[in-house]
Amino acid sequence: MELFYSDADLAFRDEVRSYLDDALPEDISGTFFGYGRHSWHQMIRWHKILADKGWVAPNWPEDHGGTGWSPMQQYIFDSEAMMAGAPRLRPFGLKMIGPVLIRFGSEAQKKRFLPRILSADDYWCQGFSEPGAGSDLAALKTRAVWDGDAYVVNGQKTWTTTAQHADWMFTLVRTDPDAERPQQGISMLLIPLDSPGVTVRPIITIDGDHHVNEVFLEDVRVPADLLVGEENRGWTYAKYLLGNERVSIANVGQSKAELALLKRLAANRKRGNVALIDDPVFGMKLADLEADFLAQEVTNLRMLSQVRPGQDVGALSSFLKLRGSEIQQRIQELAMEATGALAAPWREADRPRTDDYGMHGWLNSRAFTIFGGSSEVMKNIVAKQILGF
Amino acid sequence: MDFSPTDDQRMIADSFARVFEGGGGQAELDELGLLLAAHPEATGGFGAGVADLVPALVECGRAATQAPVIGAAFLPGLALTRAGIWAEGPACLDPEAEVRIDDDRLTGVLPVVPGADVADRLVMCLPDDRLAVVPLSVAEVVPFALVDGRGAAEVRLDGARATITDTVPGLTGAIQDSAVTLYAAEALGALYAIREMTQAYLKERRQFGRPLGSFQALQHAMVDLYHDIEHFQSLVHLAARCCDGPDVAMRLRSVSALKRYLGGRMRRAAASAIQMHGGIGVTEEYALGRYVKRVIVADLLNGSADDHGARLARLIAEETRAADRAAPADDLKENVA
Repeated sequence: MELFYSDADLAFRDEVRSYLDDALPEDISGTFFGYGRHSWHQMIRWHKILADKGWVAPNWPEDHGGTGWSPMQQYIFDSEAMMAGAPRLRPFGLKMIGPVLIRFGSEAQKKRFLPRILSADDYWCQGFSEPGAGSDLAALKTRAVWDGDAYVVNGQKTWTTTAQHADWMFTLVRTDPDAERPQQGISMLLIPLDSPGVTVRPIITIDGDHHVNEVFLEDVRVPADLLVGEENRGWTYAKYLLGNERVSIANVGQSKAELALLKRLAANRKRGNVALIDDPVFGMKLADLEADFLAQEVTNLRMLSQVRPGQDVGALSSFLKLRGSEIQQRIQELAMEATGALAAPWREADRPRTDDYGMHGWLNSRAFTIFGGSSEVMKNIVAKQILGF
Repeated sequence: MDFSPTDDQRMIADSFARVFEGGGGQAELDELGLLLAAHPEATGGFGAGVADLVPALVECGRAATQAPVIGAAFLPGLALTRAGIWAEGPACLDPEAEVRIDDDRLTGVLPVVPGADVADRLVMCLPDDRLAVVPLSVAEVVPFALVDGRGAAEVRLDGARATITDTVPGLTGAIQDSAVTLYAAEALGALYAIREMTQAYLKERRQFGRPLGSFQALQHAMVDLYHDIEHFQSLVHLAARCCDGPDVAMRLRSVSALKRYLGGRMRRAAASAIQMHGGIGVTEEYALGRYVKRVIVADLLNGSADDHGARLARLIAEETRAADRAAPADDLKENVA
């Protein structure tokens, strides 16, 4: 997209590149270019390096530690970092609860939490889904009852990504079970995960990894200063948060880097006597993926350029998430195809990294069209809010 | 990134829209000098580039005009301007003429040349980046209508004497890609019309006692169509800018992505719009078909979606190898365990 870079954008890109050259540790970029997946610890190390530079929260307002970058500059930074093999920072603090606190939190909450999100001294997870409330999130049942000096919370959350590493969980709870509409009786609480009554249990996903958890809450006491905004207004804050989450799932920069890696993989594999990338059938699949990626990249830039910082992205986020998640899945699918039979063995410790590339990614990527709102729900939202059905 | 039209682009597009709103066509466009938009300013044109023409072509697509705006105006205008030659009188253009050349005499059959039914001269891009111009008076011209109603002709040349320019490096490839992009821009206008008609139809047509648009299967089909057209719009604007710019690799990439999209997702979107309408969608009388046919003609002309998929695949392979030479290589592994 350099076609659309101004001279200032080009200078910015050069600045970002030379910074990444110096600051991104080789073992971290090596993980990516060795077809591996970054560990949580590598991600946190990179988070802290960026925080020292002041570049960890480009989407925040400047007076809270943001960078003041334009949407184009944010895109340039993101795609350059991904192309250099940097880990994708986890969104829970930076893209989800951070912006909610900036917009809806109390001054005390901003002072207490925002600096520790930036520095990664606090790591957050998301307590939204429940066993009975997936796509139908407003059906959530976890109860919070006011008991003189604190809320008492009882219930169960699920699909809680990286809760095993988290210090805090931003949590949707039902504070008014008698509200006219289920959306009206929901509040958002900030719960320390070391509170008595919190139990975190791993859920192993289809790729054999431990990404997500169940979180049980039994008589967990949460003081009033950990309520976000007003009681029973949690749904409003959650919708704002989900909009930001969906835009971040669309993640063009990451797709760009993974697509480049896929091409390199295909250039270094053979089908018969030719490199796989020269095989006309595989080449056509790559070409279609490239065309879809290019369309997604330009569409994202075109649309996000029109969004002001802090503005509610609304149904646009559902729109961008739909194709963004599909493209990421197709990249993994072709990576798995390119690896071929070598992707089939279920090897744990003894496998060379390149030999199972694609298979774990493909299995893991099944979740992309489900989490943050399933594709079917995204289409319902676009149909209602953009098309007016 | 902002693709909204500049004032000049908007002005040209508005002039087209006004002609079509008043029921006008080729004669009115001609009278206002609008068909010269791509011609050099010295000859009364606006010197417009491909990106400048996109908003006007969107209006042409919305109106499904029968005027030969691309074939006998914009496309030859771009080519003649680029080659630095110009003469009075309407021309048409074949961007991929397969002809035998003996000195300045051309022989061959050009089976589908849009606008050749109304033009005085035929401009041909030759494979060696030269431009050949022959008066159609020395050719056998068999006119016919395209499936979308626009005029075209088969042109037979039997030793016709041509004016042939010097080599203009990169000319033929640039004009071929511009042709793809101009037709795609017009298809975009037709697709907007398809989208609006389908959206409106789903809201007003009732079956089983409720509007069609209340059924989730149709809502989701409509969301897919909406999404595909938004993406196609991005590719049209991207390709148009690349046709005007100096980066040839980016032009090849964006134009082939565009054509692949047109023959894949857009053809399916057009078919899906018919499906969502039901029976009325397959009647000749209903306007939807006019727009669908315009999309299909753009898909069929100027190289197939498969040609462009293959071209894009070759480009990806070349670029990947070039990037890979700069990086340490993996072991080349047979893809069979």
